[in-house]
Amino acid sequence: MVAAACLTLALIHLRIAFGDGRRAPHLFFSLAAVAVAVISLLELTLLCTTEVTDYDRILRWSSIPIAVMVISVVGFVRTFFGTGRNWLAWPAVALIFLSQLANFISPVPAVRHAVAIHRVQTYGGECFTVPTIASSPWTAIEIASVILAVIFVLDASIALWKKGERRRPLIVGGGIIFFFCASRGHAILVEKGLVQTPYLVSFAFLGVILAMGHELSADVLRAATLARKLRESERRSDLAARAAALGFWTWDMARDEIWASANARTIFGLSADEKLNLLRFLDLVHPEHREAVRNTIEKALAGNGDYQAEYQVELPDGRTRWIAAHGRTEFTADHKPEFMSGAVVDITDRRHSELELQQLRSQLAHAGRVSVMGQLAAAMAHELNQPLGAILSNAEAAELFLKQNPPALDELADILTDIRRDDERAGEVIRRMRSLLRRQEMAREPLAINPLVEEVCRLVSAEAALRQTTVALELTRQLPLVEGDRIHLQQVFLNLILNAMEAMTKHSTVKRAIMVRTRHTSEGEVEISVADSGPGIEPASLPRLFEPFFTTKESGMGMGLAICQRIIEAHAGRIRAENLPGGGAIFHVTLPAQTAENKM
Amino acid sequence: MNATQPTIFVVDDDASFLTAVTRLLRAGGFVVKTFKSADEFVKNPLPDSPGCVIADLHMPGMNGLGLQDSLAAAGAPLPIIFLTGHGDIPTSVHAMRKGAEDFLTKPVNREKLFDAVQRALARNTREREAHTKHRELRELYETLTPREREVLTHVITGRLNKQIAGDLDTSERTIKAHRANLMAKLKVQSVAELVRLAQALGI
Repeated sequence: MVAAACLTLALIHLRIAFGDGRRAPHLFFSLAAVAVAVISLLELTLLCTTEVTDYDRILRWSSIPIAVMVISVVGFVRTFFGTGRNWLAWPAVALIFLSQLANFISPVPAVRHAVAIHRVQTYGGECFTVPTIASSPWTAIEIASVILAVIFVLDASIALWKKGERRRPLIVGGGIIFFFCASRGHAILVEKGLVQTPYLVSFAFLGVILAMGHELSADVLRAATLARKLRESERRSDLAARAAALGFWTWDMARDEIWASANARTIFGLSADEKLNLLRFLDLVHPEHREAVRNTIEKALAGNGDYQAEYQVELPDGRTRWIAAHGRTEFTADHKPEFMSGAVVDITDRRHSELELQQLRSQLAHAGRVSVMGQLAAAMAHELNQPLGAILSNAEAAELFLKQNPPALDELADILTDIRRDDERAGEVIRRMRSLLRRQEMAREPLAINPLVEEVCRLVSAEAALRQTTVALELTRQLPLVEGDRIHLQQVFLNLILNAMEAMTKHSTVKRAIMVRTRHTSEGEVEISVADSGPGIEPASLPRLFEPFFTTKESGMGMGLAICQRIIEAHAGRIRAENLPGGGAIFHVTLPAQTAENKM
Repeated sequence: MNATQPTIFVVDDDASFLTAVTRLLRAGGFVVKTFKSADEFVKNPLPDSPGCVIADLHMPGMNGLGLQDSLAAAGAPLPIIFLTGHGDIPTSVHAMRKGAEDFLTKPVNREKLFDAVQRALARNTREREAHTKHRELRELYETLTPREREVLTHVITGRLNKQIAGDLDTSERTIKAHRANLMAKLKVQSVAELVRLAQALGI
């Protein structure tokens, strides 16, 4: 009966051992169960043995299952608990192995040798055989090995207990210790002839087997529950994925296999059964983005494993699709990337609307620049007509000099030099105007703010002279670079300076002053401020200043500052306005400094 | 430099344009004096010689209109030609109403510029002559006694000697003597001439 129960348990866990990732405990458990089954059969045979030589032979053979059982239990505890000291485990294993080996191969069984047997009768009238056993030093070695094993299990259980676990050290550890002591103690009593019973090792170990099996099965049960929950959550995430058009993928790096969910395959335009690996995936990515995606993956594997990319893929029908991908890498204990898994989503629509928005924004900005240039027209004309006037006068003077007799040739050289210089000056004015009026997409390039601000001040210098306003610059040297579009940013500062000029038109000319400052904030950003000495901003207007169509001017559209804010926000910056305590208004523009990370 | 030769005063903050226009005017045979700003020009004592001013409208510090006001306040009769990079209509109307000779925009060709300069100089000559004549008359007028001046105001309103004598409570003979004296002093032969002279003097 004991044997049957043990064999059944052994079979169950052997099956598990070959299907589970954590197979060692199940394997040891099966071995122990088989060993106990064999022991119980041998014990049964001993009960009816009538010849002392037969009895001795069975005792000799019993050393194999005993060794297997003790070693398996030690192995089980070591693997199932994950605790215990190897220097206790190995001697216990070595001693039991040695003692049982000696028992098995010596001429008479070394550990227990039956000197004589006699039959005793139970109260029920049943007869069974009881031996008289001669002990030897090997017997002591076997006892020592069992004591070592008990100490090992005790130690492993205490370690597990300290980790905060209660059930396993108490039930499995305590059970094993108790039944080890009980069975070996009972065997000593039998062998010393103190009790007149047969060996009952298997019965004691049935308890051990049950304790071990109980816990292992609890594990199996938990696994089953987890599996059910997992299926449930998979079903739920699948629903969510369908709703969000998410695709899931996992990349097994060792095998270079990519598993992709049905949604992911649809997004990439793949059939359900096509095999996928890294190369094939990169092949799907648009050639323009391929290198960038490869770099991103490599960076993720070398770094913390987080992967994030937006790229285009080419579908088999020739269309392209924008995809956003997020992933996370799982590393082995020695920090080698093992798996990467994540999600992909089709962002084509979003990308398109983003592009449209960007175009709209740049058109708006262009319109804003045209209107700003309109404001500057008078000053620009003045600035341009200055060199043009000089050129004409010089040319006509030259004509007159040539008509003189003799012609005043020495004057002509000077005149030509001057004409050339004025021509260049006029060209420079036109270049500045054109660069501001050019319609183009927003660029992202590293920019030094100081030269950009200086250029704007040159652009407004004529207007400032017209309006009898001084524009002073206070630039902090060695500012970090910012990232953005030169023309768009110039437009912002142009707008702020022109607004400041307009705010001061009703002021006496003595007080018309604009101060443009650049500085480095404590947060590592670059701040540009434009301050004027005008009347300041109505406190009621302050919160609405950047709203579209909000204007305090008689002939204003109310778009200038709204466009400025859009531009600055597109640069991940901030713009704000306040009144100065001593009168006048100040506008602050803060732009993030270009860091090593977002450097292109 | 010949004292009677008219001088063109050019005021412009743009050094390059200043050089070019000066060159052109000199090539055209004019005597030119240049100033980089209106303030510099105003500080400079003007010689009592014929001439005109060519000034930019927009300049740092005192601008063209300020220069015009300053000239008018000083009583200097130099005509002013504005030459500007960009002139809007209100400003040009304002300048012309205040007596500017012309309002030109850069670039300006030689013909237009020289025409304007010639006109300005001619006007200056006229004005200078009128001014000289007025000053001479004023000097003659200064030689009259207070009584003679009183009689003069009555004569030019067309009153007879007898009426004047009544007004001034004196004899007709005395009035006659005063009248003969003042006409001699003012070097006029007829009452008509006297009236014209009084008008010129603003009496």
